[in-house]
Amino acid sequence: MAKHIYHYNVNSEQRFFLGRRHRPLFDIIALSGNIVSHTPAGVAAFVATSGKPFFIDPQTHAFQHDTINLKRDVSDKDKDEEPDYQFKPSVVKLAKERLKSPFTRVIERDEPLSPSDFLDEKGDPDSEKIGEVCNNVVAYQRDTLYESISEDDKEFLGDDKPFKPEFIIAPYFYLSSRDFVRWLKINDACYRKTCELVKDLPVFLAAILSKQFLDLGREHLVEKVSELKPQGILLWIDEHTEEQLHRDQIRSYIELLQELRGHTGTILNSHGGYLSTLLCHPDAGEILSGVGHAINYGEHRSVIPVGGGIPMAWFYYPSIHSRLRYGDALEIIRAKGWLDSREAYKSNVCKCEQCLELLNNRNTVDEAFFTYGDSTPITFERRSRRNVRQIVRLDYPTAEAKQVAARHYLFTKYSEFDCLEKASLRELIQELKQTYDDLSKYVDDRAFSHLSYWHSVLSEKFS
Amino acid sequence: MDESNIVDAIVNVLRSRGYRVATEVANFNRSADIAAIDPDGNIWVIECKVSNIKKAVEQLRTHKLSADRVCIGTFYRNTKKTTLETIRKAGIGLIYVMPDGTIVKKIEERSDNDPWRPAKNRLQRRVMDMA
Repeated sequence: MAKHIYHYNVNSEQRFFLGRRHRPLFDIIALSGNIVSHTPAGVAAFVATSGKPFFIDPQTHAFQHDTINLKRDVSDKDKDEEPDYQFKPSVVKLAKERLKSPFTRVIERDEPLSPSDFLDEKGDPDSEKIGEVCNNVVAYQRDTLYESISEDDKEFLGDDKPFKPEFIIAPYFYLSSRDFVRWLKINDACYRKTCELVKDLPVFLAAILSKQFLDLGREHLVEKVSELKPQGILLWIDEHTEEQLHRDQIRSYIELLQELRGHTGTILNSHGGYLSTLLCHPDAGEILSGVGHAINYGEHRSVIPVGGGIPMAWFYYPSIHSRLRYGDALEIIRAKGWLDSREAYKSNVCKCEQCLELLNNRNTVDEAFFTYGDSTPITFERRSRRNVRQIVRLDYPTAEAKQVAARHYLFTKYSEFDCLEKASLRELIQELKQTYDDLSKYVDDRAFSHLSYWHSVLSEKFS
Repeated sequence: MDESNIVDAIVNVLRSRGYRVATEVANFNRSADIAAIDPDGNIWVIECKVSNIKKAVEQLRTHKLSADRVCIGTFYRNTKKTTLETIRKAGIGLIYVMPDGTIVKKIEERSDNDPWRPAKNRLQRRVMDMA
């Protein structure tokens, strides 16, 4: 059965993991190393309350990129101060208190890690350094939460459930087209050493890859995995936006999974959308074992963090299996006349618990759907390319709009996983085409052209 | 002529014709350069561009959900036939701002657009608040 992973990134999202209605919608919590090191007691209490399995991403790769990505601007903009980038406190804590050497050196020297931090003079993995890193990274994942939980909360853990992660992730580094041979060697050594250290939990190999690496280094990775035969793989392809993949890229993705799956029992895609969910289907050979996302975002994610931008109203369109800008979703729904009645909306757009609640509580279908896009204007100043100051006004979703959109998303995502057990892959693939054909008669296909691509490649691979 | 000149010229003309006019109005995750209510109560959105007319067409697709009439405003110049055809097909009007600050309607916008009532009401309120 496919594992449905929720990423826990900010404490304000806790409510979407807890409670009678939310808790059954997912299987595992993915915790970022940052948040665990920054607020261990709070995260421990939350995880204990949820009663869900969890794992901790130690984020060792974060120290391999330019250090600006680990910093934030602490200047006072009101006083027009020059930008002053300092390491984020959570990163400093992660490095100094948890991961330790050589990660602390990144903070002290303000320089990213390089392969030479882990290799000896001959270019082979330095067993002492690798051993130290693995010890610290394993201890961090295994012990931090249990040590941080209060005695009161420990009483609620139960005797039969050890408060340990579902699996341990070996220290890992990003594999891009640049210098991947040495980094792959280091990942290999870290995985082997971690397996020696951990006997009571599965050890996963994290494969964090750039899209270019898939072209240049795929064979190297598959060869390495065939030697290691890891207990599991946690996959993350940089900015792998499934809706934007061309046919060749979809083929390449499926082939990578097929090749890897021959050498491991479990592959979890840390950030994936519906295409990945379909690849968990038994008829697809379960080439994926689970897929992760965050609360109404995170089906794809950049390895090197990028700014979040201004939040906007999104609507996860169930039959398009994608989050659309609210206006784009509205354009499609109106073109089809699906706001004309409650029945039309329920039959054709969505009948998740959140949509039904809105349809029942609002006077009209229009009012109900308007809630997803309700907003207040915000005004801010930005500089144009020619450095001219401009006043810009944009819609900012209301708190209620954000809340209902997130709940609608989570209920819909649950249905997508649920369908894996209720319909054949052939039927689910056919639905993609039906939706595409149906909608493209009425509106431009820019918001759903991926359905056609997914359909054609999945049909070719699994029919 | 830059974008602000185009906005100013069109705003002046609209006001002289009795429209209630607001600029930089938030609407569907976008900012309408000009949003206005004409004396008959129709809502107008005008996107002003010096270049990248295709982007304006894209932006106005969204604004059509809340406006009765939508137009592109630009300065007078030769415009490719294919671009004119794209604008016409999309039901969008094209307004040229002439060197003397007057405006000329090159393409008539479609008048039968059917905006979504809740979105139109919201935009109307915002224009009234700002105008």
